[in-house]
Amino acid sequence: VKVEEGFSSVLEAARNGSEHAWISLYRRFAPSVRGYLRSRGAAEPDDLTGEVFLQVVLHIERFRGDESDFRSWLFTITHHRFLDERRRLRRHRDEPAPDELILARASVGDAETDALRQLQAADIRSRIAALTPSQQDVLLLRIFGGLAVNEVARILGRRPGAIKQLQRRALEALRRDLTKELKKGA
Amino acid sequence: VTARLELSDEQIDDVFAESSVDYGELALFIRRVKATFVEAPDESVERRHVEAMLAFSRSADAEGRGGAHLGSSQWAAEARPAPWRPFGASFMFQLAVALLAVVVLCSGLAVTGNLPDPMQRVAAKVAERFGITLETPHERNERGVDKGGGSNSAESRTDRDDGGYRPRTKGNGEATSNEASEAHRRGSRSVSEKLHPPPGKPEARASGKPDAQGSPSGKPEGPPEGKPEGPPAGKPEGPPAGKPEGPPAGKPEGPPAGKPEGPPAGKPEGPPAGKPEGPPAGKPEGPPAGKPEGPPAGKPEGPPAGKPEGPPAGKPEGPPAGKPEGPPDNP
Repeated sequence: VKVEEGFSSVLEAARNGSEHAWISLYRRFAPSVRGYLRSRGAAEPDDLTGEVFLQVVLHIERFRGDESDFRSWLFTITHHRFLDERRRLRRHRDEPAPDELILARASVGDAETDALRQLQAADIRSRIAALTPSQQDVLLLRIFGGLAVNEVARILGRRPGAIKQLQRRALEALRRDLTKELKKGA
Repeated sequence: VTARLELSDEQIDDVFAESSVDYGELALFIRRVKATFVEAPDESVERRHVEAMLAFSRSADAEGRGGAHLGSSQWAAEARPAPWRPFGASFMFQLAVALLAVVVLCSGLAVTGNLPDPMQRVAAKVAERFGITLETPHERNERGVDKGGGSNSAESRTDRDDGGYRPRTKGNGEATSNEASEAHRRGSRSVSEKLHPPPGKPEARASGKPDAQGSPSGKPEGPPEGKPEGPPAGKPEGPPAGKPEGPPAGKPEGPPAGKPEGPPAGKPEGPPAGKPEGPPAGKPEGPPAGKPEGPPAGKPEGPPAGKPEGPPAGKPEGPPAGKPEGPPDNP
């Protein structure tokens, strides 16, 4: 079942416990959720993604809305789970993971491609980290969630005007940073 | 590099939506971000997650999910994480309760007058601005004397504001300090003296006490008596130092009221400037002890010390100068 064909029917099937419906929903939204968590530097993005979808399963009966509403709801849960995890990590310092676990989770693809991807991810993270936390929230929710200004404002508990100002400043800072690097390269 | 982003809100929406319009490096960056981070989980992870979701869905069905359906504006609040509460309740609430308790406690102590003296003084000043009269430490000391000493006389209360007087309910009137007793005695005495001045007694007893130099310390403006050019010894406004019916001060056989080079009148060991029972030396209505054009008071053979308009030559609390039985100290 494709989500695009009829979101409401997929949602109804998921409420009735259809495995296909849940797989469709997961495949449709999990990459964005995981991407958001990875870009924020979450320690365990996969685990957090699973927790987010468990929350969706738990409260799917009480949800009413279309696909846009569902996306907004999903990223509300994602954002708050990420905040919870960051708060938990501040309180409890993590022990270093054993080497076996790291090796088991290491990607088995092309080493060169993996290295380039990691470099690119580190570069993007460093540019995003130069923004203020509020600007990061707005920018990444808009990029990965595809959310409108009003939806981001509702998730973050701020006014739409403030969100517009934050996103404008974030983009200005990013453009300054990118243009500076282009001039350096030239 | 221009710091200002010359894009409208709609154009910014297009940038995020990866529209076909070329917005330069920003659109390129956003595309890069998505391409780098948006990635489907591994198959094993997906399978694990889906199984967990299905198991959770079944268990939730078995337990009976339900409840009111939330609108799209309500689930945002529902999905919000629980606020952080360090001690089970809001820290600000606890702080507010603690502050309120301190304020109530301090107010109660201030009203009953049981705060420490500096705090009670400050509290009384602050309350006075709002028209509330609180007991000051001074009043508290006085009240302690009144209760403990049993001298709750009318004179002792004339000095303080009766509006602020409140009887103490604690019953510790016996707790009187020496300092409070002394202050009360002084205050009562001064008031009673003001009300009923003894005849012939100088009003200000303490004003004539000699200081280390032998000059009356209570006479700031009066130079020593006997000086030719100085004003006569004694307070100009003071009452007569001697009885009106007494002999004039400055008897010929009496010690001089103060030679120009002699010690100033009023010195305890100095020559008496006039008898206490004598006529006031310098009493306005009394007979002048000396002629105005005569030699200055203080001459041995001259007129009595004290000009007619001068203050009494006698020392207020010292031994009566020129007493018949008192040996003259002046050589």
